[in-house]
Amino acid sequence: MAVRIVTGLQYFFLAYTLAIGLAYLLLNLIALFAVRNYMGEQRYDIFLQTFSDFEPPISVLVPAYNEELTIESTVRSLLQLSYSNYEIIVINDGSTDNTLPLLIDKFGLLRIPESYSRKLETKPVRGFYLSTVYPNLKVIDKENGGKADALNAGLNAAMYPMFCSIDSDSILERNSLRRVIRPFLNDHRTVAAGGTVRIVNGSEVREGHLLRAGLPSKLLERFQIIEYLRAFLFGRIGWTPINCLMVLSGAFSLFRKDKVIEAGGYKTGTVGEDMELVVRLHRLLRSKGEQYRITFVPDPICWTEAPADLGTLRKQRIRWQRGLGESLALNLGLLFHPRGGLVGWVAFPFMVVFEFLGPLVEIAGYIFVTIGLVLGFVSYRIALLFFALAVGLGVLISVVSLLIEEISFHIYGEVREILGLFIAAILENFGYRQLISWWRLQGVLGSLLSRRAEWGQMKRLGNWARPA
Amino acid sequence: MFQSFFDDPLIKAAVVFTGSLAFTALATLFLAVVWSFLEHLKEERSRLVRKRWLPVLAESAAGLPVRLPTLGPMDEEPFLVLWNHFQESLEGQARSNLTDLGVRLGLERKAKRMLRARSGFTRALAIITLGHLQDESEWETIAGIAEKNESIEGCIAAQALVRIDPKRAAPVVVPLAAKRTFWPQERVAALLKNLGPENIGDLLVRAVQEAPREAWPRLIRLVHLSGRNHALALVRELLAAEQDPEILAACLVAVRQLGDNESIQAVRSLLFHPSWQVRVQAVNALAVMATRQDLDTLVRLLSDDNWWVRYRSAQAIVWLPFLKKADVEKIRSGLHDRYGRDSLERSIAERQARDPTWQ
Repeated sequence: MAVRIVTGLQYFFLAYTLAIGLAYLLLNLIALFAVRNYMGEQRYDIFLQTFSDFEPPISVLVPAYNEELTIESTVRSLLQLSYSNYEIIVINDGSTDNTLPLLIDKFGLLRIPESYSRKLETKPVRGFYLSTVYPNLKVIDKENGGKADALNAGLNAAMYPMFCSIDSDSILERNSLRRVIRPFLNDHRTVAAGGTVRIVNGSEVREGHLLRAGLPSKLLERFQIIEYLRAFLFGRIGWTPINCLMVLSGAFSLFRKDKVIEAGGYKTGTVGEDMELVVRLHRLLRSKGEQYRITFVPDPICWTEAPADLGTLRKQRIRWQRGLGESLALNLGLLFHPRGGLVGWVAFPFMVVFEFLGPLVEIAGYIFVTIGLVLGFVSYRIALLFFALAVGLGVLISVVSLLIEEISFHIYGEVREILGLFIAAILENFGYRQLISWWRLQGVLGSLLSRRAEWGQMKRLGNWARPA
Repeated sequence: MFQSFFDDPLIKAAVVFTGSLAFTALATLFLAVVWSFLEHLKEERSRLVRKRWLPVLAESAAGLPVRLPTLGPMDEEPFLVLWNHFQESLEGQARSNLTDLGVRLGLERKAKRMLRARSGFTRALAIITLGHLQDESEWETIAGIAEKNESIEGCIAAQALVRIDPKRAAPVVVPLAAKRTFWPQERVAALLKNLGPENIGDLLVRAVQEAPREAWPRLIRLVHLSGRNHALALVRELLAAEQDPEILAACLVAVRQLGDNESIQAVRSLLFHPSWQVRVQAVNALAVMATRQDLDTLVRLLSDDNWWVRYRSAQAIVWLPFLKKADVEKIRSGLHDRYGRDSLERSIAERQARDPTWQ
């Protein structure tokens, strides 16, 4: 009996490793075609005239908590966005540093009486400010309630039918709003669109705008670029053609305000409020049988700083995994729902089996095979096959992602950079991936224990925010 | 020993699998490097074309005599992209100088050849070039592409027709603009704007009347581009006869855009419409034409159930040209409704922030 269990487990781990690898490979291949199509369409853009009067106005929401280092630079870069009609709403979520006084001082803020439509419950708002210098800049000062609460306060105050949530440390391309609004203009069923967020480490940034993309020198940051290409970029683009995209980055996403308010706004008390909102939109719109699209703009239009040290990276990954767990648990009704379509029947199970439980199975597999090899209940043949699968598929997927990147966006175009990333794609399989899985496993446990959510503050170097 | 090791089918599978993966990974890396190299070559060629031709295009647009460099077959595509870009950014004599340069370079011949290319991008480049050259010889082909091709290439073809001959293009393009609901509205608007009201005439109004009702709100938002008289006739007629809130709201937006003071009675009649979307647009329209007699109504609307109606009414009041700050303050102090007072206070503060000299 014990032998049967051991043999069964061996084949289970082998099959799981093969399945997850092939699934990602498939997503990357779908992404290859999707990106090629997209790039083809984009080439026509240079010839098409637009009439900017018809661009829908957008409210840009910037939740901020203790962001005195970067907030001025962020707001200044947002004020330079190329778009015909938009407002910027910074929500100071009870910062304990100089975020608010700095904003008041630098942007000539004037406190005005508070009057807005409170469609969503939030922590009390302490003040409402308007810039006397920049007519489209507003600031809400409120009691601390977390990022989701801050976004809800911003949603209450937003004047326009579309809103864009961005992180206060995001670096946007000047035309990012023009890019991210496009899916809404091309298809009226679109309710949400995520902008592609790229890693800024190693790049040259001045006054909140990217001048030149580059490769960071530290291996840890390069690993994250590879991981990013493989899972967060092309892995997600792969879901878009079948309208199964379940994750949009909170760093830069655009939503139809009416749909989000109808869904109840951002869920407070969660750590992954951005993902939870997207999954909830899927669930609610599917259950109503509404036609909708949640899509992704593959161009690199938003850049953000990746953790440069292990401690920050660990916190980030634990938080992300917890966010994933909460999003899935809160919307479990979508799983195999009769009206769930491909999201309920394919993407949601994929998220549960591979994304949420993946680290558990992966770590268990490594432990089982290693201990089994030492104690002799797993043969070296099985162990060899297991590691060949895990590492080999990992490298292959990473390299395919690298190829798609070269074919499409060509950001790391120097041969030296491609080789650097190729080496990182191999090396990350020996320790880094396992470490990430270990931290994600801690996140799985955290989400099961469901500790209270708080602002996911990251230790930032903020080099890009310093004046030139 | 090694022989028996590799005889094991599982080991064999692991080795073959790893070997294949390693080979595929290396082959993929090779492809990535080759691709990157080709892209690099392409970029380099574009850069050289820009370097060689930018001064020529600039001088030519300024009407200065220029010596033309040779335009090799490999440089045609990047040059046409550049030339068309210049065309888009220039007006008047400069644009026509650039068109003359295009004729001297034989772009017409090249574009006609490219019009039959297999690549969609090359075809689009040819269409747009013929549009800028105002070459009518391929009119039927381009009109055919506009009518048959529902994708973005059709939109590009429509744009080229408008450039070649707006008058002739109008009967082809206006019905298409009304019919192709999936063409982005800001692009359709650009097409209609380039056609000009003198060429659109009543074509757009007729297209609205013939379109299915669900398309009306979208088309009414464009109707001001067909000229004031045509637009007003349609909007006034719809305001008098329609019940659909979406259509009414779109008409009210048009009234505001057109500054149609004669519709004031119709606007007033919609200020207490059951749909808040209609009420908001009615207030917005009234804001640009209100007289003293509308003040009481606007003050009443400060107590509306809907926040947007209250806020827009408050904004309308504070920007009324015949009211001074003291008058608005007096209205505020007389308000009993808390929500209305909040809205007015906010709007007063907003006006003060925008216009510190307001007295």
